[in-house]
Amino acid sequence: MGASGQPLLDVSHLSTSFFTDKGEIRAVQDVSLAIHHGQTLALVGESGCGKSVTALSIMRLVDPPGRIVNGQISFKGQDLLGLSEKALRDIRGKAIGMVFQEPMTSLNPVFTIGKQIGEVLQIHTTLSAQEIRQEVLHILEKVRIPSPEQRIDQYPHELSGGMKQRVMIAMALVCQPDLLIADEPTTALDVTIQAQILELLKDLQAEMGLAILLITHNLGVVAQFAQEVIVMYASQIAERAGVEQLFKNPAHPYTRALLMSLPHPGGRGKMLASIPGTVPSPLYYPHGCHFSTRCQEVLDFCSEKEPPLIQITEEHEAACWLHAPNPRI
Amino acid sequence: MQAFIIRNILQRLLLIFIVSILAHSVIHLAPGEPSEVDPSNPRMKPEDIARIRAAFHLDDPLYLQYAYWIRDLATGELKSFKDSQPVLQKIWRRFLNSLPLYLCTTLLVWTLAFPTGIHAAVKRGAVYDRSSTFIAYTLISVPGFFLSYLVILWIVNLFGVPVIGMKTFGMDHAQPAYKMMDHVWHLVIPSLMSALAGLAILSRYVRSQMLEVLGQDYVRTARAKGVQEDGVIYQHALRNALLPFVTMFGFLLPGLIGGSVIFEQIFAWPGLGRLGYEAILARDFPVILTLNFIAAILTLAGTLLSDILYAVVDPRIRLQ
Amino acid sequence: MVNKPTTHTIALMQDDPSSALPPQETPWQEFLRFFTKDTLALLGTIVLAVLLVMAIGGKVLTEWWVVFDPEVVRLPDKFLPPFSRPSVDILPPHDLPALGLYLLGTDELGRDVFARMLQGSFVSLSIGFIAVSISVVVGVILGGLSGFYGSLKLGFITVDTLIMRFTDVMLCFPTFFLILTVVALLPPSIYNIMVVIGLTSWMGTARFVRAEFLALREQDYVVAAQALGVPNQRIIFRHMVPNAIAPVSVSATIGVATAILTESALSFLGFGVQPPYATWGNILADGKGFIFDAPWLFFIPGMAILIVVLAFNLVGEGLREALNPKLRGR
Repeated sequence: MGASGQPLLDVSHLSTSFFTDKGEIRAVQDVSLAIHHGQTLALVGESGCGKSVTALSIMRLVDPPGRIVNGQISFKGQDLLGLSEKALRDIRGKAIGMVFQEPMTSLNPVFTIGKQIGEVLQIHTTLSAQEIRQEVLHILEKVRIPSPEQRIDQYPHELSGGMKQRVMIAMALVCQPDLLIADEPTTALDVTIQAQILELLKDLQAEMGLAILLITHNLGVVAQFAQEVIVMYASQIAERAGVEQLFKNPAHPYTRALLMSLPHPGGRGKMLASIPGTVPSPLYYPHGCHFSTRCQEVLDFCSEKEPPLIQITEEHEAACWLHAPNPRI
Repeated sequence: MQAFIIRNILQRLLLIFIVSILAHSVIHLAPGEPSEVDPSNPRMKPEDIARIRAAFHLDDPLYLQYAYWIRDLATGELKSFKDSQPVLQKIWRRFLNSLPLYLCTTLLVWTLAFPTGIHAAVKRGAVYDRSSTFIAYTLISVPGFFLSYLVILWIVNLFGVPVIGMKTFGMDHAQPAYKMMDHVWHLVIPSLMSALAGLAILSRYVRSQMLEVLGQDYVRTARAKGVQEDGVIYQHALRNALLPFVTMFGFLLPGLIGGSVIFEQIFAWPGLGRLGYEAILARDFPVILTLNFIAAILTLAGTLLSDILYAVVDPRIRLQ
Repeated sequence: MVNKPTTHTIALMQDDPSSALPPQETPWQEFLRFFTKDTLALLGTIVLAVLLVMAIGGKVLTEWWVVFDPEVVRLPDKFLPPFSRPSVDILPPHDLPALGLYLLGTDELGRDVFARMLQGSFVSLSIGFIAVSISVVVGVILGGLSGFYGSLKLGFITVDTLIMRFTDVMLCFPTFFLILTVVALLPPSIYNIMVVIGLTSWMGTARFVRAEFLALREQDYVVAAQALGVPNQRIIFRHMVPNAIAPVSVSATIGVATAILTESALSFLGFGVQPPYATWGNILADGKGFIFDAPWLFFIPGMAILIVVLAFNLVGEGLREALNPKLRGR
């Protein structure tokens, strides 16, 4: 972390659930996070752990039957959850930009990309059509799309996956927001393109002073990019730490297991470690600590009481009884 | 694009040829002779029957009859069995009668179906959606003539709206303005009743298309950009949801003949459907055959139009 | 530090119920769960069950063990409204209605409308079922052949093209007009009507089945079965047909509704089922002449058709939503 002052985005005790006919699915439980100006916070976890829903909740884009049931979200001092729809729309696309995981389906197939990017400017600025077009060309260059003059009038299906994602990034950044929420921006892309997109994001961040909430399940990306990391498991925060601390001294058994399962140099010829069992279904979370059923270091009462986030060092917390001062047996 | 159109036209021409043969065979192979039109007519002596049969080539082999039919159709010489009037002229006159009714019905269906369908989709699960769903199902399930007669009973007593024929008796000598108003007045109930079932079906389809589109990722992107909810629905979503309906424009053409038989009968509207019905009663083969054939041609033309429109409207297909 | 799992941990992992997956349910149970959620579809099913009882019971009670006689003509008692009492003094005792009153009134010949409706229910329903059966059989055969053997060539044209072009030709004609034409030209008979309706409505089913077969043919398990030497018929019937059943059953249910409506329209135009058979369609058509004098003669069959057709449509739509996971929640 190491950034001081008021956080740009302050989320405290956010809980979001989906009320379906099978029952209440608690997708996000009691998640708190803070991002400061210009900082990158990575939200890591397996599929289904609630990281995407967290991001959508921040923008209040959760569709029914989902609903934010608890928590506070404060952005630049404003309470996002209490804002009117109109005020919220002013923030979306302008102060907070969002990039989604599936570039193939996130662009409207019947509008040109120039029109789609330009729309953001149309809504949030008073620029003329000419000026908008100039701005769009400008941002297309910035996201390193070749021949922007041609591309601007093309339709999404004429672009490759990587270029579509660049268009999404352009749409999110064209109004120079303070915060970019990137939900697995590279997951659906080829490995080589992944690297390019990440490079792009890094450069843009440096250039624009962007704060980034980066959601990913790829620890490698986290290591390159983030300053602070939050690891989520089964709708809850398992561990929060600065990126170096996380990789050097992982405190939560889940984080440790994740890191162990990465292929590492010197491990040649040995079997890849994996975490036994499977991620629990959100309808049937285990009693007590959600990870207790798969944990290698589980203690007797881990399955009785949920561990709170326990401070380990000043900027390192983990939700694990192993780190409690007096673990009661 | 041109190759696409030409290929489509050629395919359809082939189909038209096959259809004409099929239609001709089916109708001429059916039992029941045109000369049985009026078996109780004492004036129909065997010589008369033989004369009619010779005049209409009924004793010739089937393929010759087919050839005669096509030749007569093409030259406009095809005559009805019933009254020896040229078939094409009869059809044309009745077509002009059917046209305003059909246009009115179609207008009603399409202008009402979209707002109701979109509204039901946007407010899914709410009272409006559930009640309009139920009403739609009821309208689809009710026998057309049942509802029409009920309405006739009511309306005639309540409002005095005309429900018989195209114009009031004696109106021919009135001033043009009054004649116009009379025509329109006569159109109201028949077109409304014809429109109900189509309205129900189309609005359901609009609703399901909108629901599917509203669940797409790009709608979420639009919201994330800060687009107003109206803009999300009417620009981002609707534009995509409308694509399949463009193809349905093509199917408007064939509807001219099909659905109208019942309603024209109920409201005594002298149109194409009624012509078909009368021809069937009279075993007037040329008229029956030609009507069916024209219906088939209209269908093929309609689907061609749909295919072309779809290519024009959907950028993904256009650039193939 | 990663410790070795303790026996305790292993015990936890093995039998911890709270980390179990949700209870498995068979596709049938899943289908039932969704279907029963839809109240309208459930209502429809109840109505249809009642109809079935009525139809079968009706056939029995009006023709075999005659309790309600639909054919007795009682001129003194004509045009009586529902719930009227018969003229006990004038009519001979064996002509009196079974329940002591005319439940649904009498028609222009003094016949018991209730009995006629009972008799008609069986006929109307059987017209619907037989017509739909014909269309389903034709549709499944043609669609299946086209989907599975489609690329086989007969001369210069493939099976698929042949069947699909034929389907296109059939689709060219406006259905009702075609039915009317054919029915009117053939001698009037209930069987002709069933067959004609059946032979003009198979096209949708054929398309569905062909689409399903085309999709399924590419599935790995089909290729695997073929590699194992499983004969084609077995593959088709044991694996592919069950998958294609879902859209076909939806289509069939709605098809019965359409067939009943078509029959009533044909009756209205005078080309429907002729006496002595009574169907709801021809009772309705006869009744239209007496709307002012005896409105129940028109109203009752009309409402009956409406309710039954509505029930079929609701059940059909319910089936569609319950069987197709992608459409759920629409």
